[in-house]
Amino acid sequence: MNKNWRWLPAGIVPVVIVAAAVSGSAVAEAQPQLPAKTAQELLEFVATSSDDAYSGTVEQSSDLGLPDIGMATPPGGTSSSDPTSMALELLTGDHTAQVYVDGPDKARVQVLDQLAQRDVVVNTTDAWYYDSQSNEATHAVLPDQDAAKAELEAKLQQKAAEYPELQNVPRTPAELAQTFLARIDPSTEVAVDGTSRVAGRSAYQLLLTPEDPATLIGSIAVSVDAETGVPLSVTVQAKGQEDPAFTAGFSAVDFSTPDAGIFDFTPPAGATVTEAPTADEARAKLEAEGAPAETPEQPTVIGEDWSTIVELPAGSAGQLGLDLGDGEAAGMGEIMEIKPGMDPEEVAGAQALLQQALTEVDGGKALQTSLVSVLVTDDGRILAGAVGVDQLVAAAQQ
Amino acid sequence: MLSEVTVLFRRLRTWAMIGALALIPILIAVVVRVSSDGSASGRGPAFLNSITENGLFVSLTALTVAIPLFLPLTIGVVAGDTIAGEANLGTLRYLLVAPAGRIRLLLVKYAGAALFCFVATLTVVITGAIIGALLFPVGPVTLLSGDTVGIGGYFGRLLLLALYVTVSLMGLSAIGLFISTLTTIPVGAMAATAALAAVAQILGALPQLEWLHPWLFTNYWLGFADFLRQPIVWSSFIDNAVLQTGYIAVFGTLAYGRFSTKDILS
Repeated sequence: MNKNWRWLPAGIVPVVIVAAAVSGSAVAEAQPQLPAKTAQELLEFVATSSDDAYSGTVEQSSDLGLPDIGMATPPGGTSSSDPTSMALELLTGDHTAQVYVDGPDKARVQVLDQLAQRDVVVNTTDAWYYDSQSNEATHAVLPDQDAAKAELEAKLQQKAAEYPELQNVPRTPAELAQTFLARIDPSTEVAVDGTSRVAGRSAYQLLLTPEDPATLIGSIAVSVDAETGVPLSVTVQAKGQEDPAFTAGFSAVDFSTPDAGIFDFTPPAGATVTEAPTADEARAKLEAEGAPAETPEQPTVIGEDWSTIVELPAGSAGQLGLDLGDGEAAGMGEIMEIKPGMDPEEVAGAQALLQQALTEVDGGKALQTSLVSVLVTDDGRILAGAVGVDQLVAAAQQ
Repeated sequence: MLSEVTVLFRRLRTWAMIGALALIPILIAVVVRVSSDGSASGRGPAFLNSITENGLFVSLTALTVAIPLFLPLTIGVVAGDTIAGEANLGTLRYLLVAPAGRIRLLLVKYAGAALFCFVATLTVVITGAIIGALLFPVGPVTLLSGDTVGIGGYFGRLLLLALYVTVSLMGLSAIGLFISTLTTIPVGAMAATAALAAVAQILGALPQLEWLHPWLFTNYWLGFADFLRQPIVWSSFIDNAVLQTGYIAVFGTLAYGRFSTKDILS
């Protein structure tokens, strides 16, 4: 009595599933045939895309060779309202976001967190930020773009009359691309690196390779949609790391104009709404308080192009709460900016992580990621750049 | 089919489980109501802080709490009992004496378990809405995106959400059905099914196993929040449906292979 054939479906189904998964990724890797374009044509093409309307899903992930910062801040942690840590979290973690764009002045980005969401809405006159977890909204009135543009035009005209050589300011997107290309040319090799498929669309691969040996950035690949010129994905490779250090790209994209209602935002009842000061108000406030007695020292810029190092003057480490001090007691404990209301456990956890990440170097302590290095010197200066720590140490000793 | 459903829903155990599920939103709502003065913001399960402003959020908080533990537990009991329970009672061979066929019996049993998934989810959602409306003010609901929908639109979304959770649990039901064909001891099948749900969630929480995560049947369990966004994000619903279909196919055929070749002795 042979009943074994009844097990047959149970054997076939997993094989079919694996085959489907494998062939699915194989289709995604197939390279489409597209008319050849030079790097310059491609850059011009990108510049023309700013008026386009589209929507889609963006996936972002990064591998900076750091301990996972997201693990230290629990979801809904108090630190999420701190703009610096939030920006850090947005840049370093893995995220999925819905993006809606209609021309240059309407956009909505929805960062989809588990059981939560953060929204940025920009329309012609207002900008909103809304965090569903804290139920807080921030509102800013945007300056009247037409007036601002007219003002800028008038200033340009005036300047142009003063300096005739400014007459050839780029006016068309193509000219803009030209200037862009001219600027990145000396230290960057720009090449078209074949084609690829991104979010189910054919795209050109634009590859920017810094020729500077000092920088940590290996290459930057930009996928440009073959039909519209909208950049679909950006991948940053770090030197000496096989996996990309940072990728952000569409996993799905739709080039139809999004519903206009998406760009309207009314804060929900019960939300805490903060009004951000307009540029004029901020200026007026600053003037009313009187200009500071002496302007703080400006950051110094060392080097150029890809291996640029930014040096913040002595004392800035203290201002940022990064005072290293002497001895163990002050040492690591003060690296984080500790604010009232922060959960002590959370602070301790984040500090432990920092302690792991920081290494002792000649004349200070350094944080090395695969893309960026930061050096806090013993005398309180901060140096940062897309270069190795040894370069920062050398720059600090000059 | 009808008789299977009536048997399932006539059992005291089924009602006890549904009652226990209904207790979750009631407990949450009463606790929040009693201690509504000093709630720590940003703590506790999602949506907890919104309850005092809008009672309709009780459903969502209860679902977030029920999905990782209570729903898989009850599904494990129902799905694990499907075949092993009949075998244990000695009724399986009588069922198969009737010219129904083993495939049909499997399908009917599975459909019963799936129906229980839907009823269980709806119980949590509806009890949550009712108790919330009784204890707290009710009004237009704020979605995760900061947009507001009316109560009618919200119930539409809740229904979709219940559907999503039901689909999420179908894979687990299929696993339970398969395990149930392996044994004649229903408790063993129930425990194994519930334990598998726990193991999958633990694996899903380990960042080192990130490559495995899209293959875990628990991966999209908390994705129901995508129905609370404006516009609704459908991609997780589709991904979830595809994943669960895969699990149903694999474990459904395994269950068929096992059940159709097995010698029924009890």
